[in-house]
Amino acid sequence: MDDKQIKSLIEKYHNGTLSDLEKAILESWYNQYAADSRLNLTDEALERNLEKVSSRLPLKYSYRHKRLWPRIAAAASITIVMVAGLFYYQYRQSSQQVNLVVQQDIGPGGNKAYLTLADGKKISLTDAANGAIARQAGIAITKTADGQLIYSVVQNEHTGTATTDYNTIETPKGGQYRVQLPDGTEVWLNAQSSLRFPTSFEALDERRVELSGEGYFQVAKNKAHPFIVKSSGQIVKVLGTHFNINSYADESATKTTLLEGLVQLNGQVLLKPGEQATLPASGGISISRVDVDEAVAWKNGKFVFADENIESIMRKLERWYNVEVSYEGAPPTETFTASIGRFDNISKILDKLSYTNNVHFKTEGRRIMVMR
Amino acid sequence: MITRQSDYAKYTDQKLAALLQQGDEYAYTEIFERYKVLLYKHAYWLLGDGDEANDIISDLFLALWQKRESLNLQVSLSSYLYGSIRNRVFDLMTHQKVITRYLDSIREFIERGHYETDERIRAKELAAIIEREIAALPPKMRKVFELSRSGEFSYKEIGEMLNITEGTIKQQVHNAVKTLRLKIHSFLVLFSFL
Repeated sequence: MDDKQIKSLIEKYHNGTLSDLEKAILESWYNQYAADSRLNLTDEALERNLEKVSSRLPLKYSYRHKRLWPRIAAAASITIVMVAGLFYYQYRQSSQQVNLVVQQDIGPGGNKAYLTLADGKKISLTDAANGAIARQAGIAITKTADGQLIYSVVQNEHTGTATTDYNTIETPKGGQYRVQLPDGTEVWLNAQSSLRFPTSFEALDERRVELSGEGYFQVAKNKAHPFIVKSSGQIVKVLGTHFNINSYADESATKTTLLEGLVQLNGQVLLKPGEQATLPASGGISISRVDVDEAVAWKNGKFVFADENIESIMRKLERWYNVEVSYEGAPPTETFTASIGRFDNISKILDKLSYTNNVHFKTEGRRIMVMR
Repeated sequence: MITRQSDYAKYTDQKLAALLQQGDEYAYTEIFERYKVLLYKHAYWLLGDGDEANDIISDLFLALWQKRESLNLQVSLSSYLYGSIRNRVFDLMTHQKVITRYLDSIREFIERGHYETDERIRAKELAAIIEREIAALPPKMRKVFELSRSGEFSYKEIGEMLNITEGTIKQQVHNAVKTLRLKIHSFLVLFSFL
């Protein structure tokens, strides 16, 4: 049989016009070829190609068996990142002429926050000097040098009041802050977030706080007084763990990621370490295993994108760099994978993303235009 | 309502296929997770080209999702997936630059003149290859198949059916093909099956 005849056999297979005999020949050959073949395929190549394949598919979740980045040394904290939000898709078409002007690069966010006391008084933590910030009944509020606020109980001084005072710490766009609550619980707040909490847990059975935006929690152990985080549509009960809650209004769901310990969601679902619960506005919690490093990358000073779509990435950049993003035409549909420091100028990230050639940017002042 | 992706790892292939037909995204994802390594390696060994293997596997799974409602498996899920790869490989071979890789191999095979004319046995041979590839997986990955494929033929059962011991399936497949003579209306069946 010559090459021409073999080629026509293949054509017939494709068209489905093979005789039974011809089919037997080709498929028997196929079995033998498949049984014999032992091409070398490294684990790295396998992993890499499977990642590419995964990114093209409408999978519910994407598992990562191997670490693409070295494990970020995490403090022994459980981060509950709650991101609650009602989904509204922001897609702005810009038809205006964009003038290419040499722009000054946009710097990253920093330790910025506002503290609202029980009496309504608002203090800018950014501008405040280190040291004592304020006094609430029986509580000393101190700012430390590294953008952290510490609430400590003043010894030998009781609150004396039956009511519990609440304070709120808020970060603007481009801000982040860390607060240590009176029980020793540490909370890292990402940009555009707020935490409302009691100044003293003394009188309370439960340690209840309210979060909007994104927070990483390192909860001090206290089995007698469960720690409860309330965010849009979700209540997380914690006994002493590390978890991350991502609950932004412009994200489509609240995501709670557990690093260590055990956490209960909405009184029914138990989350185990390495798991992430997703609660969309439409309801229905779903749980998946995730790479926790991605969820808490922000707290460790990084952006980690893994097969992330451009709109989600740009929303994160908007919050941290305090910029305004718009899209020229339809947004690119490709997903992006990158790991980059959060304290670099925005140009570094935009360069890295546009290097893929799947997206391009035009920056004018604090406005960024995204196009294919 | 709570859905746990990890629960799906315990479902059999049959259950996953049924759920997929109903539009269950978790079932779809679990099928991909379960078979991705096997199928990719298999496609790669056949094609010798990473990009082509990527295309075949992603096209296969895209089509699987798009056609999920009309999915009515007459064969096992693994047979269906491997059979899809075979069809797509042959499709790829209609391209001039691809077919040249295989011409020598096909020509030699035809000249030897021994082929399996029984379609059911060819399917069993392919199943045996699948089983051998599963056996070659690292223990952790292999476990998933052992736990979840009740109702499918186990590697041992295939071995028994083909009258061979573990590790020698390849040799036996070849022998089986060799001893079968090409005849029209051949009723020679080398292996009995359940």
